[in-house]
Amino acid sequence: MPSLRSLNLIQTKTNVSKELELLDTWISRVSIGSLILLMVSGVLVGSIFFFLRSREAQLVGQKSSLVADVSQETTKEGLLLAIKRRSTIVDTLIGKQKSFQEFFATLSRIAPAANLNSVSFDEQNKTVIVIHTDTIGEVLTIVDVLVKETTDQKIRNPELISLTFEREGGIQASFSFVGNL
Amino acid sequence: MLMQLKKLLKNYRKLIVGIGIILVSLAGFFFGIVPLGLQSVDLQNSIVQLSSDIAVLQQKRAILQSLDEETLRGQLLTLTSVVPPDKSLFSLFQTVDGVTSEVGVSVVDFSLVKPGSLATESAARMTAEESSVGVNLLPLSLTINGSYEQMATFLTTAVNVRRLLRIRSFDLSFENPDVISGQLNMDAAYTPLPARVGAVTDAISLLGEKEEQTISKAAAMPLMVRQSLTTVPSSDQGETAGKDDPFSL
Repeated sequence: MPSLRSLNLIQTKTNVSKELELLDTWISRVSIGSLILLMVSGVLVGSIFFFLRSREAQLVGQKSSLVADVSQETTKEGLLLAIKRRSTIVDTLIGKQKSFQEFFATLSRIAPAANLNSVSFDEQNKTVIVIHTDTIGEVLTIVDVLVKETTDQKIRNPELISLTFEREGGIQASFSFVGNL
Repeated sequence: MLMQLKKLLKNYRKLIVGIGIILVSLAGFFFGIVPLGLQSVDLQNSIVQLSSDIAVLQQKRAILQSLDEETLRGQLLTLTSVVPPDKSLFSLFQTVDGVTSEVGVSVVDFSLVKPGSLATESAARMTAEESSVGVNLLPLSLTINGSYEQMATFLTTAVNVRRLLRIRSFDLSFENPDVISGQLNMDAAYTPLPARVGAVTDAISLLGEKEEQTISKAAAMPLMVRQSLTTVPSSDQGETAGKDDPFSL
């Protein structure tokens, strides 16, 4: 029988619940796992970072060298750029030029120079001619030619503007048409 | 209080240490790994951009090194003889003088028209045209005398020479069959040379077939103007500043 002197009422061990013990174990495992994960990911990401940084530095150097080479050719680049822009403008302007060779060929078919009093040509390619003839037959001939030229699509919108019988016996007529230049 | 704290620490030491390690790991992940990862992504994007720039620069260098500067100057000179970089009244007078002399008509009057004196509709049309083509137009008025054939030849020739002249309208009065008076409204185009070459990483290409054809067409046009070397004011080229003015002829 234990004596009074050997009785020990002070608890030497704390009572830990089973749930807490399980939590303790789980936390330990997770902490070790997270530490390992941190180290591995740190090494991996760090390696990738340093590789990319050195690659970028290499490319920056390469680009600087190329920029220096291209800068030496700035004059040629400027000339090339100027040529490209100006050739577009020149091409457009040349394309917009009117062919007066065709115009005078058409005009000479319509009315001979001897019958012409005046010729006016405006920005919309509208031509007004004033002719002087001796007979109405000549005027009708001109009308026939205008009709033919219209049919052949050399001109369009022919109009007889005026017809005047002069006292001296001649006839003055004015026509208009739009040349297809 | 302190006793209780000590007791707490004693009881839950392992748990506290474990939680502390997890927190440190999380902190290391979010404040170390993640920013490093994001910087890596930025580096990758930068590398992609640099690679693209390098490809452009390599092609640009190859193109520029394949070109001959004197040939380019000659081609630009040809084009500026058609459409000069400024009003160049001297080339205008020379062209008109050249054509009239060649054809044989006599010049009665030659004057530059002030844009403000044009009819509103004409002025508006000219302004719209300038904008669409990208040039400035210098209107002029010319009165010439000659025969019918000379008038026809003049009108046909004037639109096919350098410097390029455009005939907007004309009035021919037949005073007698041998003498015709012609009142011509014309204009001449001019446009300044580019002021900047652009960014160094801007791509360029060689002259295309259409551009070569335009230069050939321009070169085939009779030159009425005595050509001289022209230098335009030096330009601000930013990071691409070279030793010489890139647009000087």
